[in-house]
Parts: sequence; C-alpha cells; structure tokens
Amino acid sequence: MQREGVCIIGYGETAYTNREERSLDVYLAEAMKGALDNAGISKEEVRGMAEGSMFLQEYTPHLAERLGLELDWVQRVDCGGASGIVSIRRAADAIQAGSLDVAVCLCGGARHLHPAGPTSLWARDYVDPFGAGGPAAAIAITQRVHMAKYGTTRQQLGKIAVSQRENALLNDKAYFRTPLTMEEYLNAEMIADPLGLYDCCRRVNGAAAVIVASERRARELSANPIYLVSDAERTNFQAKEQLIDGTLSGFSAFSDELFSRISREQIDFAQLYDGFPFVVLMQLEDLGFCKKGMGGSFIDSHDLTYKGDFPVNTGGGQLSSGQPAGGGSLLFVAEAVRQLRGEAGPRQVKNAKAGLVGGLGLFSYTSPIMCAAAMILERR
Amino acid sequence: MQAVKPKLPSMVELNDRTFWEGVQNEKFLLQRCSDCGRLQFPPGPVCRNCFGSHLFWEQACGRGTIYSFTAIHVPASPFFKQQIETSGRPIIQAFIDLEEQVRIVSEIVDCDPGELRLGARVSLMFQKIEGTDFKLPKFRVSG
Ligand SMILES: [Zn+2]
Repeated sequence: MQREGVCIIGYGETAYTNREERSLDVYLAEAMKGALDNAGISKEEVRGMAEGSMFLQEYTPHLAERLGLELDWVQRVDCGGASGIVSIRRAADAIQAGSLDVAVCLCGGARHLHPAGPTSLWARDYVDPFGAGGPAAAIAITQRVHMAKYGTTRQQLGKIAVSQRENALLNDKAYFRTPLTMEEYLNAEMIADPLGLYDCCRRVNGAAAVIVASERRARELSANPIYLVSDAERTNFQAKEQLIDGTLSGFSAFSDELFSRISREQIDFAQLYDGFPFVVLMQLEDLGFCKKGMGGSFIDSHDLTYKGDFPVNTGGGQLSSGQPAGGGSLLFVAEAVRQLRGEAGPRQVKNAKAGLVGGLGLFSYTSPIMCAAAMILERR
Repeated sequence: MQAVKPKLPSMVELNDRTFWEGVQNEKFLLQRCSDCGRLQFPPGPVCRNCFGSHLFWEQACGRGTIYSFTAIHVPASPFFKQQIETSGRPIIQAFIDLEEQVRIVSEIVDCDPGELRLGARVSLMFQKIEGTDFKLPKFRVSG
C-alpha cells in the first residue's frame, strides 16, 4: 500500500559477533539505545513497541518491563525473517490510526538461545524426520529446480555472496571482514547440495532497532526523517495448491503495487533479506527487476557492490554480518536508513535518495518462503 | 560412540496421529475432500481448496517422481549427524510428486546422490527409525 505520514527517525545496531555470550535482552537494549541516540530522543518519547525476535523466551510486555518502558501500544510480530518489515508496517498502521506518535521496532537473536516457542508442526512431523536439513534443505531443493529450469549457476549466486563480502569489508559491525573469493565460494564444504558453506549465514549474536514516528512528530524531533513511501506483505503463496512452482514467491503478489509511486528504475539500492544468495535472486525476480528465471543474467550484468550500478546489501547483509539467530531482519532497514541519510561512511552509495528493503521468513511444507514483505524508503 | 535418540513426530493434531498410525500399518494416507474432490497432504482440519470439512482418508499408490532433491551433508540434528558419520553418506531429502498429483517430502534410500535425476521414478517403502520400532515412509528409485 502507499503510505502517508510515517517516517523513520532513528536506527541502531549492535556489532554482530559470537565472541561473547550476552543474553538477548542485553543486545536488544543496546540496539534500542543506539536508535534513540541516533534519533536524538529519550526513551520517554517512545509510546509503543513492536518486537519480532523469534527466539525471545518471554512476551513482549515482559521485555518492555526489563527496558523500563511504559507503553500505550505493544505488538508481537512472528513472521520469521519478514518480522522487521512487518513490525514497521504494524507501527505505521497504528501511527496512521492515531494510536501513538513514536514507536520502536526491535529484532535480535543470541546464538545460545534456541526456539522454545511455537514451531511449524508440519515441519516437525513431515519434514524433520527425513534428514532435519532445516531451511537450508528447503532452499537447496528449490534452488536445484531453478538451476535446472532456467540454467542458473552457482557462479551467479556466488557473485551475490562475494559482492556482499566486499561491502562488509567497510562495515565494522560485520562478523566477516576478510575478502571472499569465487574460488572459496565454489570449493567450500557442501551443507545441503547445491548449497555450500558460503551460501549459509553464520549464526551470531546481535540486534537492530528502528524508531518509527508520525510525520508531524518526526518533523519536530528530527532534522532528516526518512519517509516510508509504500510497503506490502504476503503470508502464504499457492497455499491451496499441491504441485506448486516453488521458485515463485509471494513477492510477485504485490510487486507492481509496491512500485506504483517510486519505480524500480528510481531505486538507488536494495537491502534484501539474504538467508541464502538464492533468496536474493528470488526477490530480484519476483519484485520484477527482471523476468522470472532471468535472475542469473541480471546478476551477471550488474555490479552489486556499494559503488556499483545496482548496490545490494551495502553493509554485507547477513551472509557477511552474520545472522542474529531468529532476528536479523531489521539489519536491512537500519542499513537502508543509514544510506538514505548519507551516514554510511566509506560504503556510502552516492546520492542515495530511494531504497528498497525486502524481508522473508518461515518455510512452508514444500515452498521455501512463507512470509514475504517489502518497503520503499525515501529521503525528501 | 553413544547413540543419539531420534525425535519422533509430535502428532499434536488428531489428523497427524491418524496419518502416522497409517504409516505404522504401512499405508501412506492422503486426505480427499468429498465436496470438491481434491487430494491434499499434509493433512489438515479442512480442505485447503474449498474449505469443506468432509474429508476422508485414501491410500496413496506409492509411486511417484522426483520433483527435486538435496543431499544433506550437515544436518541440524545430532541424530542425523551421527547417521551421516556412521554411513559415510549424505541424506537425500526429496520433494516427490505422487501419481495422485500431491507433492510430499521424504527421503530416498539406497541411492548415490550423484546418480539421482530430476523426474526419476521412485516407489514407497517403509523403514524403521534406527533403534526404534517407529516406521517412516521412504522411497527408493524404481528401475
Ligand atoms: Zn474441497
């Protein structure tokens, strides 16, 4: 939908690391503190909280209590890796409805915590007994179809991982800060064939936070608010069908509407959820940057680094930053706002005015993407 | 090496219990909707096509083809890690299109992943989980 009157005024991120074992609440607090500092506001200004960490062991109000927050609005979001964008959509809806003016969205994970909450019963009963390959196996099976049907190669997917690593070399919060070569990518240990080690994210600890505000309040509080232009989500795609095209995802259900105000050509960069390079390719195709099946040649013909003609995951994404267990999805939003404000330092995309953020999460029985969400942000 | 215990299906919902009881009797059961006639798997509380509630169980013939597959070398669970270490072979997890036009997830046994092709014909067999009496529906390449 097209969005009116909602801005992002601050973002914060912890370093992504597994050299220490702090608990999730500590990471979330640090990320929120960073976001408040970045916005230049006190925590009393925040009247609502949307929380999307999958492995949080308590309810959202309990977390709010730990952080000493008194709130008029609270929201739990459980869309896996789409939760970051979905949490911002929920906050934007509440702000537009007049329920509050300023909300914080929080997402993070800590490696030593494991999901104790709800899981997919179908995955547990009908997938896990056959190898427990997790999301990697579901992606691998779908990627193999794409490779067979469209001729997509591991080199093309490897370019995503290698380019993002180049971006990460300039991100001091990233977990991996040494170059990755195509040879290393191609020759790495197989995890779930055709996925190798560098197709998968390293689990780390970390969190990100974003402050969402009404345009009216944003203008009072912030010198450089970033505007939410349009946003959309889709849960389940082809859920009624049995023999689905698993290479096609819910992004295709809303992509034209998403770009109705700012076109694909006007996008200066894309921050796309990257649990695996293949899902970046799926987003590029299903969001309409190229025809279905042509993602491989799209990647071949563009420079995906921060200084390229189609910058993707300018901070390195999760493939290089690491994946905060069950809670990496706001990292992409934080990087988008940073770029649009011109605060990205050595990896700044020149004159970035509009950016795309994509998020996806949870896998269904025979489709690797259950929740798809995206939004467009703009500097005005 | 200490044997790691496998996780059995949780069977939280009633339909899941019916399906797994069928497997123990060496039957792979699908749900058919008597309103729109469609088959579905995994089982659920309603027909996912027409939302009808009149579902009955029907046994799959057990033949199908490989839609796609992966060879899992690094699994998430210690049980499968141990299985791979012991056998020295990855686990082949596949999406299989049954002749009934239903896609399911299963494992292909007695097969070298390098030899496996998309579209290969497979047939159903039942295999006990090591160290238990609990059967799983698996597949092998048929001629
Ligand atoms: Zn029906």
